[in-house]
Amino acid sequence: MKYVDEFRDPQLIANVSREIARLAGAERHYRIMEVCGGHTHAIYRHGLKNLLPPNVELIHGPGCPVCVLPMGRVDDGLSIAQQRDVIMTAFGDMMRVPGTRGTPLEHKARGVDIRMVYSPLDALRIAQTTPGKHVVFFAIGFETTAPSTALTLARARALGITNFSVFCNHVTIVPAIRAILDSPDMRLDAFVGPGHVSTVTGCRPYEFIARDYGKPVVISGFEPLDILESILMILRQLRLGEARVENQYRRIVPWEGNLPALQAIGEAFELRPYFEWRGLGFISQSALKVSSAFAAWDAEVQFEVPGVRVTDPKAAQCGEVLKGVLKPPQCKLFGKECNPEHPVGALMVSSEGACAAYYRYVHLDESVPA
Amino acid sequence: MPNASENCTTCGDTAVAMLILQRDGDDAVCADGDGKRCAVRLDFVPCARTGESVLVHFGVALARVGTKA
Repeated sequence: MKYVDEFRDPQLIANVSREIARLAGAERHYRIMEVCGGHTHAIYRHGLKNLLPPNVELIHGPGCPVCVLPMGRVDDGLSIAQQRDVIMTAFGDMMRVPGTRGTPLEHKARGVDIRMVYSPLDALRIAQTTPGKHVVFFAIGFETTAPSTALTLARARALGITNFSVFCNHVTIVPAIRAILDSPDMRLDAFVGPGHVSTVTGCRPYEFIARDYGKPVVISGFEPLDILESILMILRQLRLGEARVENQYRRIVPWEGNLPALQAIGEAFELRPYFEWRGLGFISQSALKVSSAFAAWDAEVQFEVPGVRVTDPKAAQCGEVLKGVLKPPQCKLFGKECNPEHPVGALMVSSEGACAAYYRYVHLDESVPA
Repeated sequence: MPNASENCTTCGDTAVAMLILQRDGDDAVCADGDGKRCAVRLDFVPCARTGESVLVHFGVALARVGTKA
């Protein structure tokens, strides 16, 4: 398949892996954060850790929107879902994210009308065909996902559909990166930047990381060769004492991003003053709310939302894992109380979460006796 | 490109390349690598034409594939 096979070529991968080892040398340790959950998943799935020298360490970042959604917001969404004549719609991945009284899937089993949709546009179609009900879309995701919600809001307004609204939980990646960079226990040398988020945002939003913090950023694709080449580009910068934003994923990511999508986001949403991220706490201007121009389609305006904050279990050390201070298995709960079937901490919730990916691809292998 | 079936599709970075089979305004029929067809909105890739590949996330195309930035 084009854009897949050539980026999984074993010989090319071996060549890049050798070059990484040569450049890395042995005199210092490199700590590189891959921001996005898709990269974390790909790194474990393809065993890329085994192709890196021991002094090149990958730290798994906060780029899993399902994982970072706080339990209180899940409760808020489920509270709306239980109101009269409401159909709650959500992406499949949201269905097993736990609130304090169970997951959306468990609520569905108890009779609450919660439906999985592939796209927010599907939720709008349900509203069109179910005039006696109010359809709410439980929106989550980064800048990659926000355009589809923005487009749906614009369509709802253009078509005059009034029995539809959005419970908005979209977050933005840059403030989370800044929070990690400002953390006192931050020990990172560089970032593998998110690929598909950057198709929308472009590369410029990351320039402060290089300029203000002196850390290289390389926007990366998701195939094995993409990720290894990005690590190689980072090492080249670090060896030369440089810090720049580079775009390895040029076949997809335009430097300026997608301007029509950014414009749609700008019209449909406003920045929240602050928002809570599971594992990271409150981060200012890190999330979107439905804009006042679309208040008639804002579920938080149309419905009463409890807004009760739910504290994460203290024993789960997600924040330390997110900042690279701990590896997943170093958390006290990993693989015991906290596992993919019964996630306690944020990073075990979704398959893209660092702990879930580690559990699936590394932990079980390492458990097998030699 | 990640295989959506193996990943959490909500992840901000999960999206799949699809071929535009037919474009009618901002509506299109696209096919993934396995030939599976679905409806895709092209509002954010106004220049994409039939026969081109686009990156699709939740039924909305976000970028043209293979056009060097």
